[in-house]
Amino acid sequence: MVDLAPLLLSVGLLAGCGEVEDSAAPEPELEVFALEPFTPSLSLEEVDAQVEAAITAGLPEPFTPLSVYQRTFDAYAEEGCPGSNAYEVPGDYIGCTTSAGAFFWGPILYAPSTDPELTPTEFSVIGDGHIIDPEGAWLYAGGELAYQPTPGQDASDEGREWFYLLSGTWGYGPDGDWLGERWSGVIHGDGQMQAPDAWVIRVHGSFAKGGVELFFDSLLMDAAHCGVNSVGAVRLHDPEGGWYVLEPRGCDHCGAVTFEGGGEPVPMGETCLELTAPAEALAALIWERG
Amino acid sequence: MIWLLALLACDDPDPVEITENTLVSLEAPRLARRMSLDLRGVLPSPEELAQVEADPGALDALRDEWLEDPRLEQRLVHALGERWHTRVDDFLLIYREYPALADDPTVAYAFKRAVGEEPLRLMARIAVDGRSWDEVVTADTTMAEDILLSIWPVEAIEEGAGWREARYTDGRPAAGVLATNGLWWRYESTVTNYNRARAAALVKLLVCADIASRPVSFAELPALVDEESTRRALRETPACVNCHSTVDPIASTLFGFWAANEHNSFEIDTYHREREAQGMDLMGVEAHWFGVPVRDLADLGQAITLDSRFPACAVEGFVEPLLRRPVEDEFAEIEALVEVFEANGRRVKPLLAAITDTPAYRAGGLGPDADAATAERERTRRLLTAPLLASALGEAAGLAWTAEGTELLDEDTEGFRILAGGVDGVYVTAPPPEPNTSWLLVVQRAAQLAARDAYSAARAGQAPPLLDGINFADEVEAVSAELRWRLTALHPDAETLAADRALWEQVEALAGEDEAWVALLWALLQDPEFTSY
Repeated sequence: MVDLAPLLLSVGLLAGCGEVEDSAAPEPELEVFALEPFTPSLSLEEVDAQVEAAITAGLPEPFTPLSVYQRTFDAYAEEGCPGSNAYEVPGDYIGCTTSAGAFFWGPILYAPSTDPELTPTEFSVIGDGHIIDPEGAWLYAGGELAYQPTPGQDASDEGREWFYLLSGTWGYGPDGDWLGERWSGVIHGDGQMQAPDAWVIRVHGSFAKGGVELFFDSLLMDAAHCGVNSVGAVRLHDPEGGWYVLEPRGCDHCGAVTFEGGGEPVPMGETCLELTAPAEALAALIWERG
Repeated sequence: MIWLLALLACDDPDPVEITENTLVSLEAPRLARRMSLDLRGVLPSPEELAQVEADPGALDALRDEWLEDPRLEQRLVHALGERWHTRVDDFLLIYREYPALADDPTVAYAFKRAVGEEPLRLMARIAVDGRSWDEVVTADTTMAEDILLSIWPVEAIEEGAGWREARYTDGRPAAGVLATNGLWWRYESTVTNYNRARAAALVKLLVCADIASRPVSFAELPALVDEESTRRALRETPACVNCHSTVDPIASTLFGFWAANEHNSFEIDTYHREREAQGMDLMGVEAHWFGVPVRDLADLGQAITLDSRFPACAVEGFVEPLLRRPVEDEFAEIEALVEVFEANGRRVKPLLAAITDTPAYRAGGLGPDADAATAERERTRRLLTAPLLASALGEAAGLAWTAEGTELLDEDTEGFRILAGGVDGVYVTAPPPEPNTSWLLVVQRAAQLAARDAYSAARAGQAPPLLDGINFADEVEAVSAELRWRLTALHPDAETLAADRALWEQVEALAGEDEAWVALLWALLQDPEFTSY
């Protein structure tokens, strides 16, 4: 019998030549260039005003876009347009126009709880569509909404936990709340809720609204101790680059503001955020949803 | 012993020095034809051919003139398209998703070409304007035409119609093609891929390093049972770190283009500046380009320009479409061409001129010293594939092969681009080196249409350039000789002309004189000397 092992080995080695060569090829030493640090283009007062305006308009959550979508759908949908299923716009690359002149383009897929006994309030919406109402205002649905309470709990449970997600581009012109004409971002939240006035909510992620770009860095709001206690950070993007970092602490939500632009952090002073009202409004929405 | 020989065979190929005994240069008229097709997409005029035939030294001046021809920009779009693969037929979005376009099905072709050509147009414009190639990754402008201007957040900054210089209005960084929608529509990312495929594509396109070819030992992989174990593996397992340590820090810079739904126009039309911080947040890595710290897309572009592989890769990207073959380590001229590129401020036109001076570019045949490897590697005869077929036949014979707004030699859903040797960028990523059956069938049909259209136009007093001044009352041999010269830059021998007369006479006997001329034209337009260059 002919021993094929050496031949097979050589074939294997030859076949692997390219790989051996690639893995052994050193990456070049590259020139590290000096990054000119960004400098703050906003004053502390301007930073404070922009963040305050964004936060007091409301903390982003998935319930408002869902409600806006359902309200708009109910207002304009008719038999055959956009389809036969509730809150579902088919993705047929054609769209449809109702007799009143509303245009539906999908897909926008609404999925209520798959197990109403365990998670009666759970929902998700996958959006890749829009509705143009008869007045020409757009409802944007591009991304995902999701709310997921811990299975087996309902609104009456104390200590219930939940998770939510709001991502993509959402909005509807006629509405004046935080969602407004067009909102873009990726935000998720989670928390616990024992009672309408006893909860912990954490929000994390970034969003843009009206030219202001914010990043909630694990912003934790806790109603258990004193009013609403906060910890974490809120970051505001400077138009020229770099981020202002606000670190609200305690029940007055006051903390240092620094600018991070690639060099040493630049202290800018202190500020206090009005977080209590928006946090309580968000908690009320979640409590109501159950 | 066999394994030892195998290992020895793994050595890099030595650069091959090309001498006049290895490759034989084309005759000047035929070389002029090659340069004209490569730089302008059209055949040289009879006057240009006569000039070069009388004085071969005139070719350099003609070449320099053609480098200033407006058609060079279009040629570069096609050449770059064969490498960047953005001229695809299917994006995740179609024109119907935009109310401004939805009611006009004839815009379908123009829409997808506009999207896919955006980054190519920017690169081609940088090249023809004589700007540094660095601007490919640092420019604060892009290119747009009416469709893109009507659907994207971009405004024209240049007067005129058609493709013009433009600028995005959504606050995206100045990063040339890195900041174009067209590039990221082509190289899309799913939500959970976190731009990694995009980063790998960038590395391949801009510094010619193929991360995807790095070896992965699946035996070393731990069980990826949940998100945390996957995260840990990406940071700690050598088989994963090998690629991810390079890819992830680059992917981290691209989160302004990260879409929550990659099928949605609101998501992928607009740059999401607020998501720039998500890279670090979601991937847990600082933004870097091969170890060089960067903060955003603009820094990334700057870092790329300082990478020595960037100019070398750019040179390779222009050599390959001109030689019509891959350029490996054996191409000895590459270093000299990189030097030319650098010495000229990384401008493309001097580079193109230098490439056309190389023996490999000018080769029309093999010399006595050519070995088997050279014969296998070099393309001494290059195939006229889809884009050149379309432009050459369009210019010379007036062929406009369209259907409902679609250029049939430039599209695959309705047309024949791939069949005719074109590149769609997804299924076919390089032009065929040699003729194949589908190419031949398309050439035959295109030649037939072009012959009939050109002859009819000439008879109607509107002769296209190919037939301009041709007198069909002349002897067949005289007409044929002139047409062959115009089409191939070769003077036919008596035997060829006799065959042409025989064909003409046979058809004339069957269908009359007009059909005989059409048949002869048809034959000439599918002659291998015309369909190669």
